[in-house]
This record gives sequence, structure tokens and C-alpha cells, in this order.
Amino acid sequence: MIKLVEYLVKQLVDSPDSVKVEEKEENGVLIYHVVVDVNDRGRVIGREGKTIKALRLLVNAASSKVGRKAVVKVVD
Amino acid sequence: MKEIEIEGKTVQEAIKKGLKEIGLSKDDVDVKILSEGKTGLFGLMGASPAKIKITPKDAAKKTDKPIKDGEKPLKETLLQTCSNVKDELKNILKLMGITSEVDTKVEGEYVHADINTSDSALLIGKKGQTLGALELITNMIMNRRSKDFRVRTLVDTAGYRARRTKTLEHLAEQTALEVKKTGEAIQLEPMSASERRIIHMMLKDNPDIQTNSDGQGAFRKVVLSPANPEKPDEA
Repeated sequence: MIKLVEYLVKQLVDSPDSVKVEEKEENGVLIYHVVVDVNDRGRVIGREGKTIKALRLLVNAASSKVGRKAVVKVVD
Repeated sequence: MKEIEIEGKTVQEAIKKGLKEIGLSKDDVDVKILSEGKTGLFGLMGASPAKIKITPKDAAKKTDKPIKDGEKPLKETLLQTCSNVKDELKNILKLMGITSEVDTKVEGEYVHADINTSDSALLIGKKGQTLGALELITNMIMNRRSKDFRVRTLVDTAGYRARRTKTLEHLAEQTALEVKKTGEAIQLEPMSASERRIIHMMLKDNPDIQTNSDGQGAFRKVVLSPANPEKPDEA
């Protein structure tokens, strides 16, 4: 799953080398902390959060396939 | 003959203007809506014109022929794009843990991708949300790589889009009848741009109905109103 998040984010940004994704677990929920270059922040989030919403939907679909819950967060 | 681009207050107005200028009837041309336009607040603030492109049908037919000089690269580029889209989708789906077969074909300027998988329900998601997300992300990724033209991909699985289109066309027809009967405008529920387009296209030739989109972002919805509000049909 972390590979999916990492791949998608890297495809969307201008500086894929600055992309870092961390996987954490809280109460059985998988949490992905996504760090990108400041200038790429808007790219990952999108207009009105369109892109991050789409990203979350795909990650949710993938995680529910394996019976997990997942959250994607863009962090500083 | 060549294509022309026309602006107008509404799509319908732009079409009328364009047909007059080009001197052809609606049946002889293909109309492409470039921008649906906004009426703005009370038709005053934030209004933006509707923009359309009118292509005479003869010319349109010729562009379909791949042999013609100068158009071959486009066709080839599209076919290349097709296989790129296929690879990209396969890649994403694999990372999602979904086993699938992807078929792609060129239709007009769109790439149609059909995903064959036992997980289609999961892939479609609530109200087709997940399928829409996959489509958006795929298009974004493809367009980041393609500099010279816009890749437009339609992603479908298990005939969901086709079914949804039918449902929307039916909804458009029924709502149009209701609007004609009562003479009052009806607002449909919020839809994506492509879904709104289906409604607009379905009713563009209906003389009794005018369609507009209203609202912002995810809340944007189609409004069906009588074409001549003063004289509602007394049925």
C-alpha cells in the first residue's frame, strides 16, 4: 500500500526526489504521512482538494481489498 | 470549410450565432462545447461566456481518415497514448492489489479504457466515485507527460459508464417533460462535469428546454428551465 501512495504522489509532483511517505498505525488504521516539496503541495492537494480526494479514494479501495482502513495526510 | 469558435451568453446562443455565421443548419455541423459558460450572480457578476466550436460535418469526416497528410501523426500519437494509458492503468491497479485486464481504444479524441476485473464493484465505488478518481489520476499523470496535447481518458469497468449514461439520459428526458409541464425550472443533484455534459448534450436539441450549470466545484449541478418562461405549456 505504501508503494501505491508513493508511486501516485511521485507521478504527480515536479520534484519526485523530495517525496517521502511514512506509514504509521493507530488503532488498526493505517496512516500515510506524505511529505512533498513546498512547491508541490498544491499539486498533490489539487483545486478544492480534488487530487488528494481522488488519491484517498484509490488508497481506500486498495486497503478495503485487504480489509484495512487507511488515511492519507499531506504533512509539513 | 473550416471550424470556427464562437462565444455567447449561453451555449445555445453561441450555437445560434455560429450557425448564422457559417451559414449551415445544425444537422450539417458538429458542435463541441469548449466552455459551458456561467451566468454569474443575477446574470451580472462573475459571468463568463459559453464557448463552442463548430465543425462542418464534411471536414469532420475527413479528419477521421488516417491516410490524409498531416493527420497521420495525430492518429499515431493517439494510438501511442492508448498503449501508455493501458500500461499506466495496469501499473496503478497492480499497486492497488487488483488483478485486471485493460483494453484501450481510441474514440474520437478520447481514449477509452475498459478494465476487466472481478473487483469491479470495489473499483466503481460509491456512485462511481472510485472509478472517477482513477480516471482523474490517470489523466493527470498522462497529461504531466504529454506536453503537446491533452490526453482525455474515459475509464470504465463492467459497463458502469454505459449504464450510468443511460440512467442520466432517462433522467434528462423525464425532468424535461416535468419542466415543460409545469413551466418551472428544476435543479438536478450535483454531478461531475462529464455527467453534466451528458444531460446538456441530451437536451441541446429540445426546443422547450434550456440547460445551465449552476454552483461551484463539487456542488455544480444542471438546471433545466423552460426555453420561453413566459408561456408555460398549459397541459
